[in-house]
Amino acid sequence: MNKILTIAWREYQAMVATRTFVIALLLMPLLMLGSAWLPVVLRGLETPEVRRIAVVDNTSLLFKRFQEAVQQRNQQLQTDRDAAKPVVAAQPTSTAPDTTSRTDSDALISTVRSQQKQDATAEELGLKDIHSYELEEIPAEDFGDEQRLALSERIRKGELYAFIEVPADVLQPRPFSPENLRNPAPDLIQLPAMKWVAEDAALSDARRWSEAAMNQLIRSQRLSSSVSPIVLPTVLLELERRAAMEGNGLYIRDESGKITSEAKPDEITSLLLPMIIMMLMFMVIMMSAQPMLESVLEEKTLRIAEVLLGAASARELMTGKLLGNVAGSLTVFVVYGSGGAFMAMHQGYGSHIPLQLIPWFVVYQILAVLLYSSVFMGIAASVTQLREAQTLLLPVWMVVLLPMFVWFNIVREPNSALATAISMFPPSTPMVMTLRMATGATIPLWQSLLSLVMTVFGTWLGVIAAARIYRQGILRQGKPPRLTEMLIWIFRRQDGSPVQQTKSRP
Amino acid sequence: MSDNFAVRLQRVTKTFGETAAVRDLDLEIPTGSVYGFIGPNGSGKTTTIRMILRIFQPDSGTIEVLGTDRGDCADSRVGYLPEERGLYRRMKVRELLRYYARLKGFRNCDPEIEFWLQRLGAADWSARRIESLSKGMSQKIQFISAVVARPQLLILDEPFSGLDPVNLELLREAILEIRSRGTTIIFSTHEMDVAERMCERVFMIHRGRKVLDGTLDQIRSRYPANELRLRMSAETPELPVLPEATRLEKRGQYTHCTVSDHTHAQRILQRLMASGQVEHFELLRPSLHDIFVRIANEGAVS
Repeated sequence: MNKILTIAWREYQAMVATRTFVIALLLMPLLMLGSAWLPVVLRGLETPEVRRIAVVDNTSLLFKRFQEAVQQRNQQLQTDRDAAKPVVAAQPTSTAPDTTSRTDSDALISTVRSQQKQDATAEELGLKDIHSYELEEIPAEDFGDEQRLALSERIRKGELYAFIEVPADVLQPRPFSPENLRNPAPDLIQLPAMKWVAEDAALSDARRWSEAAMNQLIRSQRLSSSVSPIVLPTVLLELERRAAMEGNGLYIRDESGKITSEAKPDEITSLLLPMIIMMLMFMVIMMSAQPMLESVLEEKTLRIAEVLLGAASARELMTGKLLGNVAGSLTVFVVYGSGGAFMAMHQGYGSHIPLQLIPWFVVYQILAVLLYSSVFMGIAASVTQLREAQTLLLPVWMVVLLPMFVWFNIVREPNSALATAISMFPPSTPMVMTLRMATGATIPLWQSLLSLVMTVFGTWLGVIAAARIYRQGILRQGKPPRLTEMLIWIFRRQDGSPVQQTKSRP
Repeated sequence: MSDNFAVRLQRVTKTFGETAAVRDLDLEIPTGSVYGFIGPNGSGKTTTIRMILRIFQPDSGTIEVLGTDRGDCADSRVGYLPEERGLYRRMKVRELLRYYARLKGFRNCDPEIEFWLQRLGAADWSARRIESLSKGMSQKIQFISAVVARPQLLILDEPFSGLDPVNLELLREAILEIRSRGTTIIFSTHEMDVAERMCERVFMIHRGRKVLDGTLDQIRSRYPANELRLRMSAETPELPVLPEATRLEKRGQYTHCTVSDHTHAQRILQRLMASGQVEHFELLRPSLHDIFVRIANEGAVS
């Protein structure tokens, strides 16, 4: 036992007390946070400009009102900017309708506004268009391909941002034939399409906004032109007003016996927090497995392993090294965890820190580090150069990164079949299960326990396999083994001796 | 019995896949002796050492080290100096020596470390990192790491490679000092004159088999002198006809004469004395190097 602790202590020191480790420790969150916040920051640096949009209005009824909507939008942008809250979503002020008499365009504006609220997430992620618009009316008469080309040229030169073509028949509802009325299915029927022509046509937020605003106008226009004057179009619009649906937490009975809804899950808890938790797990695994790889490789190439194996058994050596490595990973966790908690509290997100998650996280982290570090250990023992290790590590990295590809799906539906399935099977378990837990969804206890059992089992198998490879590889010199050879090492009956002759020193 | 032998191998065989690295090896290393392991590369030397260190388990046969015949790692009483390196580059000298001592269960190791650092003139480096040391310096540190836990059996694999003559002498004296404390020393080397100077007994392995084992005198008597060095006085410069000689070669003032059988030497002496005045007549005893080369070549031919 003393030997194991001696080895563990050296391993821990070798891992933690290096400049590389400290630098990595500091750099990693910067990189991770940087990649998340960079778009937002860049967006903040961007100076809002006025984008000029040309409109070819074949209906000759919509342009003026579209202009009103644009002005309203520009004003709203200015208000938001003055409030100096470019990142955090604006408070839902517009959901409370005022009781004063409203005009057509008031209603329109409020719908446009609520449209904007729906885009809060897009705004949060830095995708929202912050530029104000200016419209230019293009005469619709004789508008043809030549004119389209001319406008496109202006866009290329940067004079224009985009142009919109509104067909005349966009205001015509479908004819009210008995057939159509019996089978309305209005959403399935394509209306005559408007055209948006711009350099970034597909992803443009300006297009999405214009489409929504234009549709609102078209509906209102249709109503006022086709409905009997007894029913005011305003009334109809009011009847059609959307009802918002707010996301709320489950209800709980608190200590005083009052039944309240749990903290409302906002973007921070439902999206950012699980991602941070998963990233933390990933960083902890990476920062432990990599030093293990280097340490085993050094011991092998410098023949330190011979001296060590002359003093301790392979089992003691491996146990000691893994123990030191896990201790190092817990150090990473404590540093990041306390640093993150401090930052969260400083920023007023203290209540979001998922304290109940910590024991689970630590247990999964220990298992994950044991698994991945021993795999890295086995790989390092069977090669002689870092370059050779990289080839063997590729499939391992793919497994580690797997949860990164599906994390969004899991966060959206933490209890879906996909999420449940991949959180049961190691080696994704530690990352996926903590990710699911971090969403705050209620996960059945049996699932948590089963996934824990599976992880323990998978880790046990992984460590055994890695230990066998380690034993065989560590004293072997020369070219790295083929995969089939490594499989033989794993499944062969163990008698504690290497299968292959270790090539003698030249 | 086992008190008399530090290491005893009985009918030890070890194969790796198809190749037998060590075949049917019997070896007894008396306590307190300096035992040389010699042999060409790939002969089974390293495998034998690793089996004594219990890094490898033999396929068959028993290995008794310091009175115990089982274990999955070397005894704390065994010290090992591998041929090259074996030191963590990033660790500081003293830290590293402490680590190796503690691995051997030797807790209060600082006085011993201090003693050896002084003894080998390395006291100034104790706070330096291994990577900043020269080859000779790290060789010394490596030696200290092997002896710092006061082993009863010390296995040295090419301890002198890369040392200048001054340091070589320093290390040689250190080894002899350890020996005088009663430590048994196994000495693996390619350099025959080192083995000849340091070892009382020599063991040579070739292609996994023991080909030589015994004191240097015993070995030399098994490989008797079959070369003579002669010189006749100035009056009789011409040698008589020597039918027993298989080869004659003039080297400076002497003539080297090879015979197929050492019993022929007496006949040759008689012939020389009959033909004139003999000024010099010497039976040349084969050096370990000659024996080594002869065995290795025989092996290569067969």
